[in-house]
Amino acid sequence: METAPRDPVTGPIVLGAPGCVTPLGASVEDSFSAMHAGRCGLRPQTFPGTEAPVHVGRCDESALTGSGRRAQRLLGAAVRQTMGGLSRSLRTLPRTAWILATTKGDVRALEEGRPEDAELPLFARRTGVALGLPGTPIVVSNACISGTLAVQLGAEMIRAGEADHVLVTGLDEATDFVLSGFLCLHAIASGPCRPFDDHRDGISLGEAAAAIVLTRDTSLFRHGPIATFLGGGMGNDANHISGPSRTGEGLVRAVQAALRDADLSAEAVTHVNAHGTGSVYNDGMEHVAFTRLGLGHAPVNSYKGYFGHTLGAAGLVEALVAVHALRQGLMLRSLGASSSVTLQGLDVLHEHRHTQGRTLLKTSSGFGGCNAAIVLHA
Amino acid sequence: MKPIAHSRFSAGVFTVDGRILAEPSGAPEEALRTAYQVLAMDYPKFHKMDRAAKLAVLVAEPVLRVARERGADLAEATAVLALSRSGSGSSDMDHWKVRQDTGLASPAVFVYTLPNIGVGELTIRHGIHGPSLCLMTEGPDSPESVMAARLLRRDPRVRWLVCLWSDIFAARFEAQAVLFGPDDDLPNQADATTLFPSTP
Repeated sequence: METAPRDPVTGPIVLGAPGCVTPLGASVEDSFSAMHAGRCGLRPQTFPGTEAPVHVGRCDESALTGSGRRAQRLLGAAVRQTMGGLSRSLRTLPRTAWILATTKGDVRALEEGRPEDAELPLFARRTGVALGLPGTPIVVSNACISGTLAVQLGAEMIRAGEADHVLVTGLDEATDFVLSGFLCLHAIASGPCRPFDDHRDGISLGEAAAAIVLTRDTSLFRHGPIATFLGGGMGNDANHISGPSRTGEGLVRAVQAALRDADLSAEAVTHVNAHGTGSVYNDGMEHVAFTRLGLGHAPVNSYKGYFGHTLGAAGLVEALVAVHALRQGLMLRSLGASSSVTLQGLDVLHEHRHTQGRTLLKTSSGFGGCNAAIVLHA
Repeated sequence: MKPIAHSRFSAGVFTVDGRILAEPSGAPEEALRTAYQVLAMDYPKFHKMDRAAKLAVLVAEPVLRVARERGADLAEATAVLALSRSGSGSSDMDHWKVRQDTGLASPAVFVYTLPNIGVGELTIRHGIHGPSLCLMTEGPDSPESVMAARLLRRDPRVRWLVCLWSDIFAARFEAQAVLFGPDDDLPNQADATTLFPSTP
């Protein structure tokens, strides 16, 4: 009698079969190639109530696949890439969980007068059915750290024996709902955002979807895993709901917890892909936190100058691109940052740089004062 | 599984460990105001919050007072799990209405259009720097909520855990909070579906 291959129950937790759609491409490879070529996916658009154009990163409609709501098609395009990278169907694998990280899901439904359809649990359940995803979705909505936190949660589920395989997804659209809000906060940059630049003046919004599978079973991936999960942590500023702690309290705790979880010292980190929104206060907070943490040696960048702040998807999509870059032996420049004199002590990447290092620290920070960090080995 | 403390707040009744603390009637706004007065919170920032944040802060107040009495290290050793179905739905509607009516938006409204902001207000009020997780669930009883609570407790920093269900939309609201301490077991069975006692 033939027996099914037994999934390993020990060994490292790995990530594989990445999928994503960004304003720069319909895959991690395409997005990375565009970024490597120095392209910016932020485009000026007029917006009612503002005189100057606003730069926004929008995904090419041709990249969206399937039917249904636009948010579902955006997520579906990323998920299908991931499914295509698996040697077995997630639908038939036992003990498989699905996490959706998002801040606003299908908030367009609310804009269209159907607020009940914008409720995140309902949207996630419908999306799972539409995309044929396994089980009841676990919906993480922790502001802009959702994507990073979802990776950490997925890894913890496997560690704790709650699941053997976890599909982690992230999604957010650039909507009028969100854009009008950030405009009223005077948080939008005057041009494409410039994270970690001395003259940064705000954020640019973007949209993206991303997907990845976490498991201990490397045979699940047709092309092998892309990274190993080493650790994760989270911390709160307990300071202000819409402004970061000036002293980086929550981010310091999140990174310390992630490094402790990974059993690594700060010196072991070879690259930091930061939140880097381009706002004066966020990037300043990260400067303080990274300095306190002794991370000045690790080259730091932000991808938001390439495709904007993709909110609940940001942590995941940025981690996937950063891992891909490290596997090419590269750290990408922080687009928009030409001078970082005021961030003394940080090694901001003003140009692409070759590296042999593979230990990535990915950080995210969000409204409510929440912060998350994960450590991956690419 | 019995938490150290349990509070429950819904239309007409606010209980702590099954004892009636208040019987606030009227619209949600009035009930929230009454509960605030009964709890004698003296926290001016409360009045700037949206309804969802007020509900979360109010229902958590009694259990976090118990945590302080028990000597909990709220700053470094306490985690928060927040569950909601509607999340920021009320403020989402308010933000969009302002947008449609005026063509602009209100900063004071927009900052509450995320489901985790109530947790943020809670961490600010009580100085909680530990981990927090905000999940959107169909109801207070769900396997993922029990699992998430167990996962938060695996963090070596965490000795105290506050679990919160708070949901408010239009005229409907309900909320519960429970406190687990260092010696409390969480439901271990795989099919466990609730963190909240069934007592009224």
